[in-house]
Amino acid sequence: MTIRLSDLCDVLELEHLTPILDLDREVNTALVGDLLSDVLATAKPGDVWVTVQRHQNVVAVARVTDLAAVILARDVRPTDDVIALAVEHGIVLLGSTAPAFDVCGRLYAILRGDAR
Amino acid sequence: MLEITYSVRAGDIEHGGTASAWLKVELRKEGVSEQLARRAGVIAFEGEMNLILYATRGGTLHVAVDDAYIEIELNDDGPGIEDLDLAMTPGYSTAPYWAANLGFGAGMGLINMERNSDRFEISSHLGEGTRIVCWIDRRKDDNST
Ligand SMILES: Nc1ncnc2c1ncn2[C@@H]1O[C@H](COP(=O)(O)OP(=O)(O)OP(=O)(O)O)[C@@H](O)[C@H]1O
Ligand SMILES: [Mg+2]
Repeated sequence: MTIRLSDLCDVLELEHLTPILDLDREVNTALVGDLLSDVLATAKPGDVWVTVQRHQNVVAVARVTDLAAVILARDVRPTDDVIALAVEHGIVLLGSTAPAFDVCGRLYAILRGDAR
Repeated sequence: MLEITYSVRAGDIEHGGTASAWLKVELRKEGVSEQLARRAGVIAFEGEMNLILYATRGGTLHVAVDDAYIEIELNDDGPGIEDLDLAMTPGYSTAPYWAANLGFGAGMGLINMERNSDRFEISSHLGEGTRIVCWIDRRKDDNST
């Protein structure tokens, strides 16, 4: 299964933290983690990355690996300068109030089409 | 042909990865495939972060591209790495606590650099510094890695 970012936002009730950016990319895989080297080693272009990291280097990682979006779980809030940096470089940031476990569970159900 | 040198400041965590992300854009402009530009970006990011976190006075990231190779070279003048085998061991890290909180210190950076290179060389001497050179072979651009 793939899902468009805008639909993902609706289904998972995500807050678009970079609203000036389009949500038209199609997503088909995701990854989760807070260790940047681990993400650099495993991310594929177009992935959605679920994390509780929220600093500038997250934007750089997303740029290098060409991620579709970063979902910041557990209501962690990036500062305005991080949001500005993401907007400048076209990196979509989405906020969720749910913990990473729940975000991933729901993502898995959607992307793997196994909504038990 | 493209040749760029970035200087990386010690402790400048705020700008960590900026040069690497920019490098990726420049490589794409130079006609390098997305796949290879991304590998170069990952190598540069890991190298850049190590200069920021560990090199006493920062260092340089030097990139040269021709039809055959993308060459990424990192140089610093200290402190140097005492045991290279240990440093290359996945999971080994001396990242300070504050950096670990930011998601650094998985002890995977050097391995990521090696894995994304077709050829990888590292040399280091205590008190002198560390030099890393990574080559990506553009003629092997088969989209498989
Ligand atoms: N330029 C350098 N100068 C001195 N020591 C270095 C340098 N680069 C790496 N090291 C040492 O090698 C260790 C391993 O580096 P590596 O990049 O593989 O992992 P890390 O930086 O600890 O964590 P990660 O890169 O996964 O965030 C470092 O913790 C540090 O002790
Ligand atoms: Mg490192």
